[in-house]
Amino acid sequence: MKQVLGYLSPYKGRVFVGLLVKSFATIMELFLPYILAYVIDEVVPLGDYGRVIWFGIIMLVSAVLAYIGNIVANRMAARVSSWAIEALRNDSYEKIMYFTNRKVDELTIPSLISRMTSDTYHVYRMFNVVQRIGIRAPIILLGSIGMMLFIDAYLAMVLVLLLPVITLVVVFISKKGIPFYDSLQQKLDILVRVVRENIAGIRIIKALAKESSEKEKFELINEEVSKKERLAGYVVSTLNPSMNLLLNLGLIIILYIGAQRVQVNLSSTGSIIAFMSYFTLILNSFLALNRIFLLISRANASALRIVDILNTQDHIEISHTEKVEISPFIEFKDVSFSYNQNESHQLQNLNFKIEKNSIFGIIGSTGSGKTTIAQLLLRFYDVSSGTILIDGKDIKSYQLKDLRSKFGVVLQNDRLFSSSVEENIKFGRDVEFESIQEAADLAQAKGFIEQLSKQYDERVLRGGANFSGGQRQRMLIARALADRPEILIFDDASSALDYRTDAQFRTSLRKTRLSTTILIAQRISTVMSADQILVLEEGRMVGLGTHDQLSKNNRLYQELIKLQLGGDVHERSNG
Amino acid sequence: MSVPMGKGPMGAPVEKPRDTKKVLRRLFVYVKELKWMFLAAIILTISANMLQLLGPALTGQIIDAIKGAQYERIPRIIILMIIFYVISSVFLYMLQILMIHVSQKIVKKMRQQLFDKFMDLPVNYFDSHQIGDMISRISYDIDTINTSLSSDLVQLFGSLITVLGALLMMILISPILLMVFVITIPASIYTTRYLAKKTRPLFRKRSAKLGDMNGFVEETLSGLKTIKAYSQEETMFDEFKAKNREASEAYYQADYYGGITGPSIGFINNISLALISMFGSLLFLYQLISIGNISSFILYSRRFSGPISEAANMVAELQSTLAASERVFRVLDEPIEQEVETPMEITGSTRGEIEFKDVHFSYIKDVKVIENLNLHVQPGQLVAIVGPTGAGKTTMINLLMRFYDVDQGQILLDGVDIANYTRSDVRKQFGMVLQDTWLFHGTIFENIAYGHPEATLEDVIEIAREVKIHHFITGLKDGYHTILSDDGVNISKGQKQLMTIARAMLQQRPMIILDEATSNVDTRTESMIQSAMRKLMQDKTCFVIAHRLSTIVNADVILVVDRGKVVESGTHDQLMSSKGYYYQLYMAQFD
Repeated sequence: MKQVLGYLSPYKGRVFVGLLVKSFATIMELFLPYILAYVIDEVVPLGDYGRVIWFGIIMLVSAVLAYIGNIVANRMAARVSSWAIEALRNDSYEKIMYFTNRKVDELTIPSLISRMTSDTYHVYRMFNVVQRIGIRAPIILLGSIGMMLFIDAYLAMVLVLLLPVITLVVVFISKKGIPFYDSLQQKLDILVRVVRENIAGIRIIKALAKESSEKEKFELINEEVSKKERLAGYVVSTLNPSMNLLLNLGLIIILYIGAQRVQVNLSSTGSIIAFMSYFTLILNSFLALNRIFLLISRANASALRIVDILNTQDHIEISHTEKVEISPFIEFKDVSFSYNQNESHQLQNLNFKIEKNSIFGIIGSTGSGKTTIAQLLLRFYDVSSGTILIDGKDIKSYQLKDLRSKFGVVLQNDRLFSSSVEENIKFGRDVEFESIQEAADLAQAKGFIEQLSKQYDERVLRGGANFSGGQRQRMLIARALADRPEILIFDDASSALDYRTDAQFRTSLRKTRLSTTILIAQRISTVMSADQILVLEEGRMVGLGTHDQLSKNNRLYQELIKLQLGGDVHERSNG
Repeated sequence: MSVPMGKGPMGAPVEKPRDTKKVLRRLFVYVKELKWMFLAAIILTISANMLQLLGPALTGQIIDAIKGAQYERIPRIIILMIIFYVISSVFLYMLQILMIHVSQKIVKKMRQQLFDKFMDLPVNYFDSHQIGDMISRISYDIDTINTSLSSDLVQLFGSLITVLGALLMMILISPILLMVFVITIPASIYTTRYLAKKTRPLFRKRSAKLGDMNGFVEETLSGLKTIKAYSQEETMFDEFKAKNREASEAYYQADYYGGITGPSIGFINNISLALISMFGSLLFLYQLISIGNISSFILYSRRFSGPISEAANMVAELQSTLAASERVFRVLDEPIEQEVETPMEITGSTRGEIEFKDVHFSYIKDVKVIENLNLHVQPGQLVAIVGPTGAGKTTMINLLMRFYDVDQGQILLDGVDIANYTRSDVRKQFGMVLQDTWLFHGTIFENIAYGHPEATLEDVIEIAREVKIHHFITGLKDGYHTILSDDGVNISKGQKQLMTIARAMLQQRPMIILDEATSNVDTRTESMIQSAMRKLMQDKTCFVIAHRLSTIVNADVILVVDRGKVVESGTHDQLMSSKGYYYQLYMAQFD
């Protein structure tokens, strides 16, 4: 929290002035009931019309000053809060952008998103509201008590004794209510889950004609939710009437004691009238304080989660190793890797070489570690042991930017961003329009792009929602090709393409041979024409060779062929 | 003190219903069923608020008694006050309990109606609406209605009583002093109106800019790996900075003007107080009013202006409730699946002979998906549907299952048009295994037996043995009673698929619909799935969205689908020799 508050410190002066102005305005407001009491007790009995009007004008002036002060202070608060939160958001975002993937995995993307969006929002609200109301409420509370003590200390004690009682009641009821709301929330979560499940499986439910039994199931959870809501409501509903009653009883006590004191000339009518006004002010500031506490406690949790981002120490080391004289372009030397030190190896002892401008296929089932190889090449993660060399140099010795600029990649779950087709292919790099067209052509995307009404300027919605899966994939491939990278990695890039497009793309890729190409796939047909194919199983290399070689002597590869290309064509008996 | 912050945590703008009258009329239908409860609520509100309103008058009497040194009158008034306040607090509590009951009755009913509706809606509704949107209607919208019914309504009505009552009391005390409000009330109405008009577009802009920035964050963080792969961190950061700047500027603008509203209302209240004090004192000097009455008047004026300034917030609140109700009603008004008036009954099991006769179909008017399809499938035959991703292979399934109805032509089952049966009767003739394996929160037994309520544990085990998943299930701690949940047992995609195959197998339907999309599973599981599917298809009429060559080559009929249309049909040999689209697809594979 302290660190987050630190973002206000560049504006210390403004905050301080704002608070001063706010205090001044609040005090002006506090004067009003006091002046009223004074007028009734001291001025009216004198029957001085002129002075009554004078004091009326003083009250008006106080009101105006309070008004101006409040506006100025609120404005300053809004200004400072918006500046502070802007800086806080920028710092967090920048930090996240340069996080290592390990860190991102650890914190998870949904959590990072909610920290950046809702958590910063809560902190902003706190900055703003605390400066505005957070200052005003205590001043009014304390100021009113002070004024009352000043006017009639004895009577004021009634209130001072009453406040702890009210506080206790509020705390007691809230405490009682929280468990009810917790269990209500749990039931609500179940209700939402049931609805979500039913909508997701609507085809199956209809296919099995289970609609009415699902309705009955829902009735049960609906009743449970309703019951919890009623219970929670009963408890919390006691809050308002009891606070109301307590305060009104307090007023009655003041009237009663006050009357007795006036009788013996210890107090005055004006004082009692002023007390009534201060009571209302206190009630309001009490409610405001209650709200602010809720706000602060929520913002506190948010602030902690943001600070967590800001204080993360993690960056990638760049080592300095000499260039080694060897010929292969990419080389894996005894590479082993695990995501987690305690876990078994994701990849074990990989040794292979990839020649410049060759096509290298990697095949294996899910979890065999295919994708991990690509992630290691890009230094999304560092190897646990062994080395990866590109051009004879350990990849750890490249500047990250230099290393990654060698690559064009289509990752699994790769993304289009909301901008234009051209921007998506270009993707922030210095690429000529001609190269974009060329890449689109090579990726088999040219045809459909040129049929779009705005062609390359066509808008792409978030995630490419306005394009089909195959079209999205082709644009991603074009993006990878656009910068004419030295190395291309396609991780399951053709799974969304139909056979024909996939084949055309592979043919053109083979023809051009501008880059070293790594094809990662589950489909035999994708990799079968590669110069070399690496077969992976559970992180280990179980084969390396051409399609012909592997289909003759590799057990796993043969099994894949059988499953995918239908080695068992004649087994099915025909009904 | 209160500042309009907009609705919802992200400051979404207050929504307005499109047709307020219509929504109100429909809400009234719910109210009418509980009219006695509502009547009781109204009586309670009026009495509780009236009793509260007597307080300031009695306070004034005490002050006059003090002023007039008639101290003996005071205890009686005090006792009255205590009685009034206690009774009114009890009434208030009763009122709240009552309203919780009322709102729960209504809300529970709405929720059930909504869910029932979801179950009855045709599949095309789910194809054209976001799941998140439907969920927000049954949770967030219903919740909004609940809050309004249980608290806002009471508060608004109570405020109305208070304002009217306070006004009446002030008229009784001093019509002359009431003149003060001739100045301040128009001023306060004008100011709030002016400010609302000024701030509304600013708050709207604020929400838009914030949404913009949040959207950008979501997008870029979800695509962080892509950004890193292309070293575009800096580009994105620069773009973020620009969006962040716009958002905080919009915030400042909105909160600056929004921050005027609170002080303005406070200011007008203070002005009223000052004017009442001044004129009240003058009137006192002319002996037109007593000190006690001035005091009562001030207290009433506070009650008078409080609700007025809050009314604006309330109205916004109620408006978003109406909008929420409208969204709920819109779902309730959706047409449901229609059945023929006198459906024929399917007795026992059909043979599984299917004929498409001159079938025409389109999802969107005038965009033909199926044109004049004729196809005869004999019992036990295998139909393979092939084509590229997104080509519309599921259309055939949608028609067979009557998730959608044909525009023209007929689909005959054993020679009878399926439109003559009820939908559920038709659907009961098929077993279905889709690509996204649907399992619900429940035990493995319940999941497999789903659709066959009479199935015993023995039946389920037998089937599980057949699809070779029994061994895996018994290996789990709770065996068949293991609860499947998102965060619970780790069950692989392949195992899930096997369970859905087991489910379909248990039903023993004469026809099978299967989507054999290659899922990401290891080779062993893959071969298990294949053999389970083969067992499932045995001796049945099968419609398969085929991805495996073995299935396709072996099919009795191949339907080739492209761009949403059936472009070719025939056996593998026929299609190969015609050298059409299928031939190209097939050859591309071995290219």
